[in-house]
Amino acid sequence: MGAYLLARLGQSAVAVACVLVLTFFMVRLTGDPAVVMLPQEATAADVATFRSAMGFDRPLLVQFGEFLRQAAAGDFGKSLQYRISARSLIVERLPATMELAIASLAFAVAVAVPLGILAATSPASAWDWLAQTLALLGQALPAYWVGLILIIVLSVQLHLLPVAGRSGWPSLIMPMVTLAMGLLGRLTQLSRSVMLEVLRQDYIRTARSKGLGGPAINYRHALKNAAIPLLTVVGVNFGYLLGGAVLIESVFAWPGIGRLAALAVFQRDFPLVQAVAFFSSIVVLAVNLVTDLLYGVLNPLVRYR
Amino acid sequence: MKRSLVGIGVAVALMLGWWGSLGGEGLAASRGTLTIGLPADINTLDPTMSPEVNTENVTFSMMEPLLYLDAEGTIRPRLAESWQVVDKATYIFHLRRGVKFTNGEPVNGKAVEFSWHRSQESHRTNRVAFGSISRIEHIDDYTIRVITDKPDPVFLKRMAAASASVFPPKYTAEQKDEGVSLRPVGTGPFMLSEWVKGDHATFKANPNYYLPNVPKVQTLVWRFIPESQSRVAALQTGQVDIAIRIPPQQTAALRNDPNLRLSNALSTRTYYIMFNNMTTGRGTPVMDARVRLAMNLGVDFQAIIKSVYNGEAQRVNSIIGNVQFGHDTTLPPLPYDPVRAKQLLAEAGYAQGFKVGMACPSGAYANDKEACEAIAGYLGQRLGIQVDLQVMEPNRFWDLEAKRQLPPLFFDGVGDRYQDPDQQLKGIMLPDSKWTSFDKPEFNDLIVAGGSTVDQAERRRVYARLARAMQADPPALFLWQVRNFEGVRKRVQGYATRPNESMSHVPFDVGVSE
Repeated sequence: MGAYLLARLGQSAVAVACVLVLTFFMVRLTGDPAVVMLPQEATAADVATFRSAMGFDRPLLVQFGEFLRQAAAGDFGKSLQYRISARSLIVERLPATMELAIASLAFAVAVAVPLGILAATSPASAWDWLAQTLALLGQALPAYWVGLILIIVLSVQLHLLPVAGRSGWPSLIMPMVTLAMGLLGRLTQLSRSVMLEVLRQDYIRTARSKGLGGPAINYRHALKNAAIPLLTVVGVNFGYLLGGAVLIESVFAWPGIGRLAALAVFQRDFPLVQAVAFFSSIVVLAVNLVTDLLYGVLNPLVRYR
Repeated sequence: MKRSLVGIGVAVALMLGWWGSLGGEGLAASRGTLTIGLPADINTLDPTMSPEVNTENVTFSMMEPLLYLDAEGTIRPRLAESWQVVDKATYIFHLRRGVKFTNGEPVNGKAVEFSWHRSQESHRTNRVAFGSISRIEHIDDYTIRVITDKPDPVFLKRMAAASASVFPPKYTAEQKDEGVSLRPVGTGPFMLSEWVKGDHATFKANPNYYLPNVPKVQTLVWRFIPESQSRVAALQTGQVDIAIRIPPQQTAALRNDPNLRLSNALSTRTYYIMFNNMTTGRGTPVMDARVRLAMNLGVDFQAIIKSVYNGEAQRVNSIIGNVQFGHDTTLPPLPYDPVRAKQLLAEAGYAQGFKVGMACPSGAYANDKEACEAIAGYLGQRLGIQVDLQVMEPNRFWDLEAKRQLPPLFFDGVGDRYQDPDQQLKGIMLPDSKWTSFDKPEFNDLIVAGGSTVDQAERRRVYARLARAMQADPPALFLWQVRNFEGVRKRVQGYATRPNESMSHVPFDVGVSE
């Protein structure tokens, strides 16, 4: 187990290093930051002075060397636009995105898994119909559109929830539901089909013949085996949730790193893009590692080597 | 530099008593909360560090320059109670006495000198605004002399921008750039309460502000809501009191709401389809003046304004817009005349038309792509000019524009903070600007002449000549200026949209009824 963890952490470090190097060179393909930072009336001489003051005119390899030295010490330099440390910006805004992503994940699991089980245990019932409809809509409806419809109905028409910003739990509800839609659809579909599969197994029949009731069979015996594919989907989709946050955060004016990242790319804020890439990859890799470790908890036959 | 003290005289602008006219709203001072929905996040609260208009508007809550531009673009006193234009290149400002920064430091000549030297540092984006200044010195505690290296007709207007704000020297030096970016201190009607990046910036009234009955609200909140539909919804639900930048297609929903009104102004942004005669246009038919004129005559721009902008735009007669200083009201826009256009093309040897590339950003401005498609359609159907329309993501578009790698025609718009064409024209027409793709010495000379004298009557004559010269040999298809819409809740008092997107009047004039 210890050796496995070490190996995994080593792999993660290599992956993060690759992300950093790729990001460094890719963002520089987007163009010259001075062009978007200076007012339109700036002359060529103004641009040259500014580039030199900001160090944009240094050779790429020199900039890369400095970046590596700083990154090794956990420093990503100052954001070009904010003029404050890129790391402090991420630290300030990551909690909002994590709150949104974790709430969406919890919401999707809390709705999809029981619904999938209900659908599997009572085929062709109203539950089954609901589960299949939700599975289809969740995956088919564009999140952006769902978000706007929620705003129009719940905020504009019914005055129940605030439209924009992050101010207490009422402001979390609409972005959470919107961001969860896709995962909710996939998870409902998967939990239904996996449960259908598991419920046909011999050990379930044995359990039933021992006289166990429906909930004990469904949630203790069947769900434990069905959980592994579900966990895989949840783990993989956490990264997608972070990606989806870019759009959802704009619709609901949620102050997370998704919007920060999108703006940083448009504004050619290289240090900030690099810092966002670093922290996002750490989060995704950590979630994947935790997912892999949970397999062992769910299935004692899994061995880590 | 040898200064010629010609008899321009001493233009002393004493505008005492002007402030008295502001208090006529019948509101008790500083009551309630005003919330404004902005279309973009801001990156800094230091007005010297971003040329972006939303940043300028937010920072005006607490930062003040010496001068102020009113709704008509006229210069008014602020921290300076008067100023003198000593000669073509020398200005003297007389400071208002007894004003203190909200941290207690006094506003004096040293503070102004410190602040403006700071604004000139080369790592600041807004240093460009201070480019013409060669000397700043304080004569005494309340008098500052500024010398520009050449006559600069827009100098005083630039000194009314947020980037010319006065900072408290001791605090600003202690806090360094990082601290000032997060929590600057100024003299304005409000003081910063908190800035939650990506969410909102909240300001509370400055109890010691030097003007009577200002500010009119106790709390001022700027809320950042990038998505226009969400901004409109926030307005409808009362989460914001003013929502700016409302797309024309969303105004209908607001017109019928009894709690709202629509406010609008023709924007100073001037749209055009520029020709390129410097790089990609060389050797193509657009090098011929008759072709460029024919293309201006062959498109029914008025019909496009009606269909694409719901009629909420005005044609311009040249690159100098209708709400700018120097606009020649006697010169009508080029007419729609497809017959004459065909004749001109035939004279130029292109009776059968030709093929040409045209670039267009998508999503940079309201309905940009739709406008381009309509124009390309007219050029094809009326004149037989097959337009290869290349629609691009805006950042990619601007990157190619700055490198002069766009096709021989491209759509863009040029904004203007000061309602004066000087910077617009220099920014997109002079060959030393990165945005210029059409170079003609006659235009360049006129633009330089218009920007090199402080004699405003002479400047009007120069710009009138320039507009006529441009119509004779068009460097661009002259398009329009678009009406900007903002939604305002009826509880808001004293708010009007400004043509240049400035909200510098909000901290002073705008109140709310309970």
